[in-house]
Amino acid sequence: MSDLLPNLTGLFLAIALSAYVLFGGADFGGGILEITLPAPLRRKLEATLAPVWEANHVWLIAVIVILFVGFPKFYAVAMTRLYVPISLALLMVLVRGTFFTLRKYDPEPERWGPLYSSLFRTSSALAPVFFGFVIGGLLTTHPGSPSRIPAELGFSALYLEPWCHGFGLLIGAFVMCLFGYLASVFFCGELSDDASRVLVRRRALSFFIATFVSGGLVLLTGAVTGRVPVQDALHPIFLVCQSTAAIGIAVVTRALLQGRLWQARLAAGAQTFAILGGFLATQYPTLLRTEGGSLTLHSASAPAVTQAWLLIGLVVVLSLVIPLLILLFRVFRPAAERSP
Amino acid sequence: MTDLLWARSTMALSLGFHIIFASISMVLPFFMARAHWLYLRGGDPIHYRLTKAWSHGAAVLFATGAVSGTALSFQLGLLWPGFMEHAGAIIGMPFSLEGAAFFLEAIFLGLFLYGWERLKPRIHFLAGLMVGVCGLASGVLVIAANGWMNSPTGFEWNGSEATNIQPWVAMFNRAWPLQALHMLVAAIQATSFAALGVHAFCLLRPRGAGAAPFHREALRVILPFALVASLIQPLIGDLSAKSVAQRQPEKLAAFEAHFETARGASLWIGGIPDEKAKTVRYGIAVPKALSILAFADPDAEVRGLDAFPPEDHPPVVVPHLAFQVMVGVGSLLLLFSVFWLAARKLRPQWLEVPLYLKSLVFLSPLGFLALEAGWVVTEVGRQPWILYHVIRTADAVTPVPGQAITFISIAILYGFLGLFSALVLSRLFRKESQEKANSPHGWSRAE
Repeated sequence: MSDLLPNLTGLFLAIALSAYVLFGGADFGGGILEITLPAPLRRKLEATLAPVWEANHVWLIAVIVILFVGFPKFYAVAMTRLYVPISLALLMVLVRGTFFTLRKYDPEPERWGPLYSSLFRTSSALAPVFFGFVIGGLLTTHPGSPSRIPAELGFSALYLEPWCHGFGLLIGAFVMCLFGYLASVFFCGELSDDASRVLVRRRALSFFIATFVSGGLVLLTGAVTGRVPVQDALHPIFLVCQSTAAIGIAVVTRALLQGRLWQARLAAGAQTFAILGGFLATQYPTLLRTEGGSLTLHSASAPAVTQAWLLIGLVVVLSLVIPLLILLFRVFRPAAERSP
Repeated sequence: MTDLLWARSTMALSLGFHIIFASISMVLPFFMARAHWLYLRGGDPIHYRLTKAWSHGAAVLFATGAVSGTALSFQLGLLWPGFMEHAGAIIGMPFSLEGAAFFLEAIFLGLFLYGWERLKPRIHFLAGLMVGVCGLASGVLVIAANGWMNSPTGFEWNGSEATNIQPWVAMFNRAWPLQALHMLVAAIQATSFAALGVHAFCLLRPRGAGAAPFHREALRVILPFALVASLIQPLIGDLSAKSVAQRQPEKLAAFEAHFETARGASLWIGGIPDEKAKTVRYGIAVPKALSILAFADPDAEVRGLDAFPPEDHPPVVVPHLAFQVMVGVGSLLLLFSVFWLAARKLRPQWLEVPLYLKSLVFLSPLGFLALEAGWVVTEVGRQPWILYHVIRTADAVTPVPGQAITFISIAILYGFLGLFSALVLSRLFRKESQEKANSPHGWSRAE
């Protein structure tokens, strides 16, 4: 019973995280996809992302707020242990948001447009890489214990080695490809002419293959280095989820070929949920590992009264936000369809 | 400089930066909504263009505010893990509600910006108004957290852990209402004077003559906000000082540079405190004024810094100077408002001369200067505590070394962000103020 509240809050955390991976991911992916597109399609992509940009990124704030209200110990410990990659990821998110906005509103884009665009694209591609390093850092065992940092070990052993490794980089590549894939599938649905659809569909497939390959490499490296225990990788839920995600590409491709664009988007969303869900299910309830024990959803949780009020707040907020978000997305849909 | 000082500098820079954008995106939507309302009522294309121009400004500033706000939600943990591991569970309520208000603000802003042709006028107007309402709400909620840092309540502290947590009690702490009101009114003052200055500057430029009606109307829409806020702010400020005198006497002693406990204490106007000699140089002392200010009684005893152990003393020089700046600017803006009201009644032609516009340009940055100074007073004045009388700032700071690097990166990023947003805003503004006034709907058809 005492685990019920942290579990529920954890569920909301997972939902907010999924929403961020899906919407924010498609948004980061937009910047990555842009690198691979010819100029007219780039402009079209920018116009597609513009209206929903702010709303997409608010999910990140939701994740952070749930973390520090619901699991303050984990928030504090993770922000310390993974200070460097989190700061770098944050920096990329900030650079990206800044230059996206400037590019969108600068009435004389010809002057600095190229600068805005290159900074926007580079940071869009690097942010997921640092997210990957953060995930790699959460899967790595840190020195000391959750409540004690062995300061005598020095900066590198404490704050660099636990995350700065090939495994983290591979996860980063995986996340980057996944985001590129999401953006391609989403963007495909906004296009009306066949030539550009074919082009973006090809991008979607390439990104998917890259996601699949890098995902496999992540598992392999994880198993070899012991960061992903074999029983985790072979856990039935994990296997079912990841295979569903892999097979899902057939549904997405078919839907794209037949022009059923919403079906394609939903299927790509479901793939993402499967990947993330499988991962989170095998991680549960561990949040961060140290030599002196792990922080879990339960040991890092705020007192019951805070969790309860947080949950009530989340339910109220979501019941306000979701209808409005739907309205927002509906208000823009005609815009994308009308413009040539 | 120590890592602690670098971390504090990073936080000060981030908050100081964020607060400008947050304030504008709290207040600008109300200018926008007023212009929109006037347009819907009268159909004047100038009001339409003002609404558009301000809404685009609000969008840029909202995005900048969102960027720096996202940064802050991370920085609380990156820089102050020893505070957040305890505070998160206690003061999370207003933070999560703030996140919600911010989320709604983003949605309403999207609806407003893109809803011109797609929403019914009434719904569209409401969406615009809600941008401002949600912005205000998120500001008020975040201040609940800061109020709690000044006036911690809603938990028991056993020396290392908080127990018996009551989130709502923490949220409704004693410092909150006045702090929130003081800040809201300050945001209105700062934003309206900044905007008045920009429009006055455009009116003064000889080549902007074609856009003169646009800028004149802008002044008319904004002025009431500036005047009302400046007239009530001194009163709220006075109440705030009295509240601080009761809740945080050492903070009051620091920003008033009041070193020795005394009855009928005098108030320093200006002056540079000398912490070693425990005196103020080059200032003017007004007898009994501090006792009146703090307790509304000329003979009340006001505790000086000598009444507190030295290890709990806040710095004196910075809060005192910042306080002088804040009060000085507040008085100047009050004077301006009184002058304006008198002039309109007695000498309306004074409000037509270039000197009047020049004075608006001069006042333009002062509101924000005072707002920043006010935050310096409350934040530096709370030191050495991050959570007043519970957790020391030095115990809360991250153990990660090399904080100078974080500071420098953030400073560079915000330097660029500030510079670029200012340039983009000025270009945007120039373009929109010079657009042809005759057919508003031609604009959207061309889109």
